[in-house]
Amino acid sequence: MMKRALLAAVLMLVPPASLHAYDVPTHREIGQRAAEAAFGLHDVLIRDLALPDGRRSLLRAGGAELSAAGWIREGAGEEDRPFWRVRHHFHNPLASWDLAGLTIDTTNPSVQLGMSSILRSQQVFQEGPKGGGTWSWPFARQRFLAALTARTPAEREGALADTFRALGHVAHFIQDATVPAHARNDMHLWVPLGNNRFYPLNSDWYEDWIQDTFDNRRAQFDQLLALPPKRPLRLVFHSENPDAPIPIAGLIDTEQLSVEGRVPSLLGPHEFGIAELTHPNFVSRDTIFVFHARPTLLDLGDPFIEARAGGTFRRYAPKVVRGASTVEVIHFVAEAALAHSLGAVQDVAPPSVLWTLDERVHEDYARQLIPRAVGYSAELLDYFFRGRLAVDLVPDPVDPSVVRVVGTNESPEPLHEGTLTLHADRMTGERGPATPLEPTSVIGVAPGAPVISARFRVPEDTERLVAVYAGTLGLERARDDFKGAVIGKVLGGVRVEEVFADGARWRLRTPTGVFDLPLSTDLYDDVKWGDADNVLVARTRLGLDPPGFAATFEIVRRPESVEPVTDGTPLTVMLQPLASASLTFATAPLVTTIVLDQTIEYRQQIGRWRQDLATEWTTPLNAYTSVSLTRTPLVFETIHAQTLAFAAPLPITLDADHNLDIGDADVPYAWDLVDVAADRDGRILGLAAIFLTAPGLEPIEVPWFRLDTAGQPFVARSLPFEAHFPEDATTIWALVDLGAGTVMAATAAPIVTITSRRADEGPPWAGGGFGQDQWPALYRQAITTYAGGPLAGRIDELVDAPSLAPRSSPGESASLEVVTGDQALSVSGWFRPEIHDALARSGLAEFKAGEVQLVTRRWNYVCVAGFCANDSDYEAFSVTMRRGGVPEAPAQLVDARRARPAPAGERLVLLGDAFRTDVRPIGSLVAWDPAAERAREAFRIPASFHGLGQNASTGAVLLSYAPRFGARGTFFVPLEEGTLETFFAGNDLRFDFTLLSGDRLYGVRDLRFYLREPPLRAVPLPARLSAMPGNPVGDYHAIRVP
Amino acid sequence: MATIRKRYWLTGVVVLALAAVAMWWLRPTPISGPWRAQLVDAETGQPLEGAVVLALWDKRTFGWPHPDRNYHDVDEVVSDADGRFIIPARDVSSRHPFEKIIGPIVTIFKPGYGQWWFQGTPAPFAEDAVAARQRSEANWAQFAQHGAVIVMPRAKTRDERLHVLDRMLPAMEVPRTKIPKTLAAYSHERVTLGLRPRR
Repeated sequence: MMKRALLAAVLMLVPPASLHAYDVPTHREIGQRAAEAAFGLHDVLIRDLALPDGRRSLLRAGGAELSAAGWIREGAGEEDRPFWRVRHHFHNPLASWDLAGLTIDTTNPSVQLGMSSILRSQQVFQEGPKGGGTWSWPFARQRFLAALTARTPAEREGALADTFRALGHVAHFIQDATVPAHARNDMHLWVPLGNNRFYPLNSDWYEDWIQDTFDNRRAQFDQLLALPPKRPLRLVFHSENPDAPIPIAGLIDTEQLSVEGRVPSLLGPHEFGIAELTHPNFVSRDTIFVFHARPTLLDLGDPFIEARAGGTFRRYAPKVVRGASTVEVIHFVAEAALAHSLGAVQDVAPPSVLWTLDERVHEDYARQLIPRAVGYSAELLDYFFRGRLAVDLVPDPVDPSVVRVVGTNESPEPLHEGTLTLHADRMTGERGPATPLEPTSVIGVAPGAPVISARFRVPEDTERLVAVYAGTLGLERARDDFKGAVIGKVLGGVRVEEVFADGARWRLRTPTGVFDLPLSTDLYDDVKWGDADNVLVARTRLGLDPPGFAATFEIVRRPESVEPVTDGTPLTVMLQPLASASLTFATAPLVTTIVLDQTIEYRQQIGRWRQDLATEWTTPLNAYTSVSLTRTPLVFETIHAQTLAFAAPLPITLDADHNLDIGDADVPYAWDLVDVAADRDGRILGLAAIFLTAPGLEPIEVPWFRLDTAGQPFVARSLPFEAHFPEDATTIWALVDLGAGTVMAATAAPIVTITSRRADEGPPWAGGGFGQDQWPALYRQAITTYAGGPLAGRIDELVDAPSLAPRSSPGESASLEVVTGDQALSVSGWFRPEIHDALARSGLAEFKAGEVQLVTRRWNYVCVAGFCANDSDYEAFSVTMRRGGVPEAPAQLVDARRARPAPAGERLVLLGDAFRTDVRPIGSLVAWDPAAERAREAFRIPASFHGLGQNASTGAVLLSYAPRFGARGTFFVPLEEGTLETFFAGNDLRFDFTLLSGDRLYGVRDLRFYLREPPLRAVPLPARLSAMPGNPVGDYHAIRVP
Repeated sequence: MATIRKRYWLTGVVVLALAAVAMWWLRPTPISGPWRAQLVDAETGQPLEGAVVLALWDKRTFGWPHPDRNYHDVDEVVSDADGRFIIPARDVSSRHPFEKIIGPIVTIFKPGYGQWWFQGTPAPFAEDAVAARQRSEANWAQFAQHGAVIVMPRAKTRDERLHVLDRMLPAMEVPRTKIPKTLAAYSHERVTLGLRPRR
């Protein structure tokens, strides 16, 4: 007590201005940056602990509310308070750990002023409230366990905040170990003892410079913090020291450093503790080449001189890798003023007299040390959250209220020995243990190995379950006063709500009741959930007078609760109008412009042959008998050819005239508003499908000729020819901001260019040779000579050929080639580039013309022998028709869904189908993120009848599947890269299941979530919606319960 | 008699000592500030209205082996239509013999903007450390005397905005009742960036 008073009395004399040091704000900022660099922590919070804001999740404790990272930041600063805690913030890696703290080692024996920061960080108890409390690693573990298992939400939230604050405190020790003075036992304030090696009342220059930079040159400080963090190798996490057995000790000291041993290089690899790196590689104000074995003058490279402000100069020496010329720190030490004079006077001067540290040195130190302070701290945070359980609930086959937690140990280390328990949240938010039906111990689960828990009975109204492992994880061993590592995995934690039509009203159904909505079914055709948790979007019928509209409403909920605010009788949910938008546009938004340039090469072909018949009058028959009969071969010729040209830009706008519901126009397209949604920003969006029909350009009339009896052509009639869109260019999808009246995204580019050359034939050949009766195309020149008798003379006339008969065998004497359809086709912009690329992987992106049909038909046109009973009795010709088209047709985008809730920048799921060799189309399921201009083929669909589920979630969609052979069923198709679809054989899930946020598969009949892996099994989550007669099916969404 | 005289002397000395202490305690102290500045967009030079400026003062007191640093006071002002703001002048001296007031440490928040700097400041590390310190001292002197121009770069991506958001709240020791505008702006920015607002 007396000593303490004496010390205090001495210290009271110290003028505060001389006490600049590594300050609280610096620690805070390093803590914040470390939290940002701790990606594992962020990921665990989002994926395992169901905190969607990750490190930015707000947590309240003791009346204060900070983000998780904010609590780390706060803890990193608070470790210096009250100030006497600082005496435990030193660690000399060359000393044994019980003596490695702050020491006056010039006395004999040494006076231990504080314990090693490593030991301090692992104490189960550090200080009482007056001393700042206990904020150690064991305490962080203890609070994390409470965060997972405590009864009330407030208790759990506070415990989680404490967890992060404690981690900030522990990270502080690591940050201090990057300060040379703290790793080299250089007390900032020295008590003069009369020895000339002591200097009274000095501060640490490096810490001073850092703090001055923070206070006055914040941008420079931020840049230092922004340098890429330097993290250690994971192998540093071990400790064989019984005084501090938790492996985080290795972040500061791996006990590899020795006076004679290898010195870790700043160039890496980082296999040493940070104090082991700082100690031998840097100097502090009072330990410049004194008191410690390293660094020494042998570590310096060639000195160099630099100009300073005011026209002065200073000589600096760099630090190099010993025995090499590789520079590690450029400005390592500076030569002190009068160094040469002092050297001359003192002859052999203490080396520290000759050297000093200035701003340039501090900046170079900071460039090395700050990234390590951040990186090692981040590694600490990630290490805390390294335990991962990739588990889910598996219901008991007999009793669905009994479950196991099944999955794999996703941790990088084995679960050696511990317990795996399950905790259930009721709808009130209270948490309690689910009743285990078997022992809960878990032993020896290697990384990646299966984890199978005991069976637990889950209460009926459970909204969330939390699986908790507590015990030894790798080298972090449980012991009497330390439960070891803690791993949590939240399962569920969401509530499903439904909006549905019920008579004259739209209603809301939740697990706690069924409530009216102040929305009538008379006015609103459809009411759905928006992307945001509390937003409904309602739409009226589309009309002109009155025009249809869509509106969004916010459900008012009770503070810090998901329960809606209701009033009146019957209970009616309070809605707050948010926005509305007309379903028709003042100025129709332009989706795309189709630039069509099409030519049709038209020709008309006819065939002729000549028949010479000589007859003579014969008596006493008094009739003409045939003398000779000759026929020329049938010859085909083109009697008319014409090129028809069509060219026009065709703007595709979402105007009322072309709307399927209210418009009359259906050329060149019609459009339909297939879905209305509200995004997270409150925008009211519409999903429109535009169906191309025909270009609708003015037809071009073409003459069609016949031959008169003299064989001369005459125009028998005219035929109209029209332009055509390519056969597979059918549907464009567009996402529209209904409020702004703008197109946010369209599956087609702003300009679609279609250049096409088609061929066509005059009748009857256009159809391949049918219909010759109606469209004569064969002519016979019949020359008949009558010798004698009453008709004596010659008749020469052109007549239509007699009826044709199909011929089944070869032997034709003439042939005709007929060409129709697309001969050349070039389409650009039909798919946006990213969609094109996604479809191209399945060969479903190109419009490339080729021959799609080659048919030869034979016709008997004149009987020449026998009884005209067989093909051999006839002269015949053949018609070979070559029809052009697109042999490998691109996908037609037959269906689309807007993902709900949509990720930033929106997402559409497109189903593209194309026919190949089967009546069942092949398909491609494409997830398209328009703002990111990214699309990926999520699933290649084999030939089958298939269809999309009624909605798509952010990352999945259901697809029914009915192939010709093999199992029918439904695919659950994930939309993100690196995930595989699963198949539920025998079940068409499209109507009894829906996908909710988090890609949860929800059964609308039994109102439970289902596993996404077959077989189809329900889990005892979420809390069921209130029972209703008939269980009406509406629109569902899932919201996170607080 | 001598005892009485001695008492007078003693009393006189005590009174004089007390008077000296009182005079030292009540000595006039220089006022610092006001700190004036105009905020402008780093790219366009246009003034930035409605930015929340938080000026924080810490007090650094005796401590061992560290000095202790704690919250002292905070001012919250908002830039006007011309982007100008004034942090009122204040007495930054301390009556405590072992205490020093540090500040203002200025944080400026304008949605969609990043960390501020004095106009004309080279990019960090682009100049020598000594020159950087000297420039900084000159800038702060200008800020505290005649007024400075402060520029703010745009935070162009969501990540950049999140980065700013993560740093805009002062430590918990700063009374929340004294920074209502900062808290409101923080909450609003969280919502804008798709995060849950403060409760």
